[in-house]
Amino acid sequence: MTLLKNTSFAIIVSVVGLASVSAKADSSSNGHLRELFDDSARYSPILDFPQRVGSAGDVVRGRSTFGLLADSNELDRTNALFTGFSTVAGREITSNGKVCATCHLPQFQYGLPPGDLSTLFPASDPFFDVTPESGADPLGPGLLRDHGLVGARPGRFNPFLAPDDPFRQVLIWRKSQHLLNVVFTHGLLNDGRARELIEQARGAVFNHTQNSDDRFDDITNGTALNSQRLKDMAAWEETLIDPPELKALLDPTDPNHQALIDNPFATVSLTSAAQRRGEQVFQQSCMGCHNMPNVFSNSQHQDNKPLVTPPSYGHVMDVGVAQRNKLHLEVGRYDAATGARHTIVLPLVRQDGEVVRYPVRDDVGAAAATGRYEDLYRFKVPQLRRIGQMAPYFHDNSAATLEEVVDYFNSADYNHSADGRQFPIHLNAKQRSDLLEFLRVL
Amino acid sequence: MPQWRGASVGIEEYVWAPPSGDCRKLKGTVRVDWDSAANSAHVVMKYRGLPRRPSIRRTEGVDFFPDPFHEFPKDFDNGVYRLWVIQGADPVVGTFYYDPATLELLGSQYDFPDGPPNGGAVIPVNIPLFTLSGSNAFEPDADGFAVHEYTIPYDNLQVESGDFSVARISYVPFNLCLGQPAAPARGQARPYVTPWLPVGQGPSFKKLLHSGIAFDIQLENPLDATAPGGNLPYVFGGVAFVGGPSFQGGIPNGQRFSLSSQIQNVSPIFNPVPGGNGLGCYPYLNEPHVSATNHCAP
Repeated sequence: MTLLKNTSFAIIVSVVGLASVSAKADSSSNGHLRELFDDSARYSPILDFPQRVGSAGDVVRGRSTFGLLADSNELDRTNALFTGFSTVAGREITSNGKVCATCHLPQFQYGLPPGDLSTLFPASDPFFDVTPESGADPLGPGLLRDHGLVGARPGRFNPFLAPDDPFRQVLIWRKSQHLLNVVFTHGLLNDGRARELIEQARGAVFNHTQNSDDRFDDITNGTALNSQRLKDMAAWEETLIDPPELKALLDPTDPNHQALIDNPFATVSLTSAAQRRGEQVFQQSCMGCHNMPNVFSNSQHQDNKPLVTPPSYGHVMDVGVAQRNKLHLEVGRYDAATGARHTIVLPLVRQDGEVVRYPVRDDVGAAAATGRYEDLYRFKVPQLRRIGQMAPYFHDNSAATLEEVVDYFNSADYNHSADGRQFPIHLNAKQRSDLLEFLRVL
Repeated sequence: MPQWRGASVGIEEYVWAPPSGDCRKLKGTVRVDWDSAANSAHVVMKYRGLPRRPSIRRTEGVDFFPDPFHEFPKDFDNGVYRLWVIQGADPVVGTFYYDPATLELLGSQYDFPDGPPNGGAVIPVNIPLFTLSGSNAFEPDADGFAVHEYTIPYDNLQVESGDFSVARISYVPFNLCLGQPAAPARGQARPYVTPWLPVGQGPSFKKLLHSGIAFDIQLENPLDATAPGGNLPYVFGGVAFVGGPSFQGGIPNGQRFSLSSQIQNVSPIFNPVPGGNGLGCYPYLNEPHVSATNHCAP
């Protein structure tokens, strides 16, 4: 086989004969197919960000569309509601009053804080209207209030699937991601299924503001046909950069650009011996995945334009968090008429063409969007700057502290996971302590 | 890249199946090696299980819809094969001209290179275009085996014969009342094809790779198989067969890449081939968007 990845010459994979074989569903076969799948990805060796909107969007308008006043972090819904008659939906679109800034709060790195969120807003605030996301599911209000989790159905707005298609019905519970440094992310949303900020923003408006599965692309686009309203919002989100020196990574002509690439810790200020030792531990144990210099997201992305590439555009990974399901999240479909919960069965396709009817009992990650068996339990690698201010952690908010995060990656759950086997982590007590010191100052 | 029936098909294309209803033996690969320094890209196709000289029979209004912007025969015998090299996306945007009175499509900038028709009294609409190039026609031996290879310049995609570079294709409403600008794949989206463009107007192979590349072999009538470039009166015959796109993981056997999903940006990006690729496979029309809601209707 000629591998696609890391080659600049002679591609085009040959996996002849593979698809005619009915593979057995054992772990060795799964691992082999997963390797084939991963090897078919042609990741760019260049540190670039072809998914950026950049100057195609208006930052000032974008901030307003996001739901913030121009000169403060106060909420302002004036230009942030998506309503009106939609020719795509064929009806009037109304909003429940949620705007982007409802759940991406500037004072919390554009995310939600830990703890009981009922102290954050009055009970009448649209924030607590979970009907759009999780319908009548009785778990919705509590998971939002206590854990900051909201329901999402990745295939909910796919107009080419029947309403009862399992890809439209599968429900997962995910955190509201912090948007800080989102411009440095290849693949958005927790599972990386959105390739551009425009896609992310469009999906969020559809998912959080209305109770039906209707799309209303014409409303989200704005008056122009080229998604200008979403581009504006994306352009503004791309400015959420901290520390500010990271901006140089976006611009190859910036005099500091190459320095940030050459020294992955150039913008990290370390003041103690423990922090410096922690940096070494990080280099040895964490940068296999958190390899974006100075940002510590994952730099790998498909070597072409985002929308050419079906999800996943970035490199998504299975580190075992979803299977652990520490919060015992129920993902079956809730039947309001009977109160019963039914297991969704997804027809996932393997590399060899076999269709595996997979009962969804926990968050299956990217597979819920891509339909690929090899994408089971894969999630995006998050950026780590200001990570100490972004608790709780993981896609399901299942780790309350950085200590819990490090302990998880030092555990058998991680080391036995698909990508944990590729990038094992075994820290002694001193290494653990030093790594935590380093992470706290990122 | 492995090639599977139905894996890489355009909107409103007819996906053929052998009359036996047995697709189990179909298999193919495409390999491309390129060398920018030598300015060459070499394409090798290998297939087995290809039916030799098949006949195509379609039914108008069911699995064939006449297309004034891409005319090709509905039925033919002694079919031959041709590889299409498809650029998944491209910054090329074409201007399409619509009649302001009837809202009917008049053509594009490629049909009217000297400027819009009607003395400029048109509604211009910008629509993205895909890019196609292809091999000469070929056919398998009596046992269904076929090997075909050719070399083209790296810096400028062109057809195997070197007579032309590429053609641009898109899926557009033939009447603006049936279009859905904010969600094109939910409105009328009929195939539109430009004439073949002169050599020199194709993208480089590098650009092709970065835009996403797909392959498909199609069936067409052997009108002039001995002419340079084979049969090139039209760009493609509307009959798809075996292909595959090159993105992560490719398309597994038995699945079809959904161009409608790509245009609409929804996933999963593939869905099952109707009838599958085993015993009992049958022909089908892929993702037709011939009719749509008429937004001009009272």
